[in-house]
Amino acid sequence: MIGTRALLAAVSALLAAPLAAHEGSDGMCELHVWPAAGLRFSDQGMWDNFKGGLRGGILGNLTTPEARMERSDREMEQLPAAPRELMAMAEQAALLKALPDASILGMPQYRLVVHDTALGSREIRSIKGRYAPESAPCYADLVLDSLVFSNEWGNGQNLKSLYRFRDFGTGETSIRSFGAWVDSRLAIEPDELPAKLDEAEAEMRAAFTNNIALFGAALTKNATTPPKQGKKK
Amino acid sequence: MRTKFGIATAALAALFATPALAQDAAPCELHIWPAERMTSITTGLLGGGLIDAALHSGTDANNKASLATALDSPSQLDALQSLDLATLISLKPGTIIITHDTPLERKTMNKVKTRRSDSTAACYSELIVADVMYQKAAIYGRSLRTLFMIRDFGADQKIDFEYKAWGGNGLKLFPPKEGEDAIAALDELNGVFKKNFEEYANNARTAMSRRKPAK
Repeated sequence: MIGTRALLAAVSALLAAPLAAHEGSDGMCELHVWPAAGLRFSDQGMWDNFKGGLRGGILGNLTTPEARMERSDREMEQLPAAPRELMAMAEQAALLKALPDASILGMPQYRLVVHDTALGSREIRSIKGRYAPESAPCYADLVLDSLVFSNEWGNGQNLKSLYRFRDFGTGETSIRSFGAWVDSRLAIEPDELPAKLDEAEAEMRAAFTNNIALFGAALTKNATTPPKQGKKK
Repeated sequence: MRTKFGIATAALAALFATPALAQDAAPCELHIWPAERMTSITTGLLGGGLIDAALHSGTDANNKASLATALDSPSQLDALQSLDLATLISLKPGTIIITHDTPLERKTMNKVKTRRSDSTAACYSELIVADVMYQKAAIYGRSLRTLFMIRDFGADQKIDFEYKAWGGNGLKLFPPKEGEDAIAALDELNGVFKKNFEEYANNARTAMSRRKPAK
């Protein structure tokens, strides 16, 4: 008799477990979000395809891009001194926390949990399981891997974001993942940044939020687009 | 008395012998630096130049951002350390690998001819990743090229052996198409970076076998 009761209890617990796990403690799934470590700067200049090849003759006898590049003494791109603090980690986290919910990412049923500190490059690449182990049973994560202020000759400047998304459902291994770059155009040029810092900050904040929406649209599209079939021979 | 003398002699001998032994047993050091410079060069049928640069400015900027993300300093160092460096570049047994997270300033790479670290190891060498370049050419397709440099100093500040060369391999996934998952394409960069080093290392071993002192 005791054995039958124990068996019934075990069976009912087994049946109830997936439901409980799916709902979480308050019935909501969690989307954990991490900001990027900071803002990086990239400059695509007018002479980048020459890379020092203009010295000594039309191409300076440096016929391949590798040879031209190796001989180039072009400095690494440096972000102008003043705006290094632009889009710091705390500001990114604040903007993410200002989102009312995860609807912008097409996931209204998820509660946003924003982390204050960025994940390291090694953590992002090496951890295959959940980045936040103490999370709700139903879990997904979104990492802003890279945030780049890009200045492009003939193309203006923009704010690029690389997002990595993983959905674990109620399990411990990812059941879906998607990553993409998105970008939003900026009007203020790098040279103007020190003088127009307040405007630049406002513009970047708007671009940052717009990039989340753009990634949300790409994520939704990716979820609804069937995978491409290989060509039939 | 004899025993005491024996012990004292042995102790004295050990005292004097220790530094020499330690020096003999001191392991070699290989110091590794990642690259800071990422470049993307896309050329169309015009074969490069200003018009090409203008036409592909946005694409090259996107590619550069991807390179800098997929092959940031920790990724380059991890990729190299995941390989069997001892075999690939014929390291002496027991060589200690010391990685430097901060890249060297690119313009100093060829100019500075002394050790790039403060190490005073009696057996010292360097592996420097100098450049990472994505190239798309109208006929040859897409590839990732990487410039590596090995410098062996021995016990002093003078380069005994130097080998610098490019490794390059084709890409199938990078750059990702708009709307497609970018992660596989970024991972491909990492895999091809390793292949580039293996290619470089094969050539480096050949150069080492007919080793000549650096001028």
